[in-house]
Amino acid sequence: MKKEYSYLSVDAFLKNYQLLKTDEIKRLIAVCHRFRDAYCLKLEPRDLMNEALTRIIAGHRKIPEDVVLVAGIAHVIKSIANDLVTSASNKAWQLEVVTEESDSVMSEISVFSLSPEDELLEAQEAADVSEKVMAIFRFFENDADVLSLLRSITDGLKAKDIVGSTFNGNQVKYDSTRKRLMRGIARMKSEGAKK
Amino acid sequence: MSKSRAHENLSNFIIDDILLLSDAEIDSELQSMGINVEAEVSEFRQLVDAPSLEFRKARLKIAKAHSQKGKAVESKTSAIIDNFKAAGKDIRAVLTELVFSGQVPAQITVAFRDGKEISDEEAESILEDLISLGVVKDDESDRSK
Repeated sequence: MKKEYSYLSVDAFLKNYQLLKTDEIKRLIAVCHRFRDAYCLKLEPRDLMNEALTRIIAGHRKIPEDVVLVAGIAHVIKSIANDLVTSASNKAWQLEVVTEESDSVMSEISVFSLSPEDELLEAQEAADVSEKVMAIFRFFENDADVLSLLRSITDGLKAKDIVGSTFNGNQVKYDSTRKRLMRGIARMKSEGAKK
Repeated sequence: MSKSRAHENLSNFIIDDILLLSDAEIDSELQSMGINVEAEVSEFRQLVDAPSLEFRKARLKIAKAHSQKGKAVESKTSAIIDNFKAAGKDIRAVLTELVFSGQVPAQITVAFRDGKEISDEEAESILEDLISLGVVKDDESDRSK
């Protein structure tokens, strides 16, 4: 049976957003930075947040009432980041944002907006998504533990399962590997993901 | 595992990971990213201001439009009643005429009864309802003059 959701009204959202604690805002900041860095998005973290807030307040995205607000907003941010990776229209946006960047970046992005056929576009989107994930794998090619962790994550395993299945129950090793992964992701944009 | 599924799983893990960190760990993560935390927290709080203002402006615009529509109806209603009065017509007599002509909806007919037990204000109120329902129109009050 399909679950019926009730959603936060815009007024309730605005009220709850204003009541967010500083530590909750910090988590949203971290989410925006992580997505920007992990997928090498050509925008600032605050732009992701601004777009999320705009979509929610305009009623284009709704947050279920029974979902923690920070988690709800984080999933809207995720959706926007995914759109930026996959959609041609947002690549056009990226194209505008990076006009002053190097030719090599320009030529890479220009390819995205050239396919007129839907099927080709879809295939291109899948390739783009794959490329973003593969770039993360390549970035960590010299760290076997992080690669194992990444494989488990992309296979859909949750943290507690990964500790058992990938790190033989060694929570400390999982924590240190997870930290290397996340700190590495934070460096990806500045250091440049390997082709 | 499809490629887009792998991407989705990674994105979900990124969120879960941040939500599961302790407050101290979040501080440590943000510091390791070289973020000016205080400034960015303040900026993120303020980001809601512009879309919120737009939302409130849009809502005010809708409310104003409703209010103007209401005022227009009110003004039209007053004009019709004034026309009847200027023509020396008694509002109860007008209502009685309408009831007997069969143009008045049943529930209003019941409210009106025979017109003898209602005040002038009640009679005007019933006539206002009939005007807003379109039972009584401008031209009818004009003809009364």
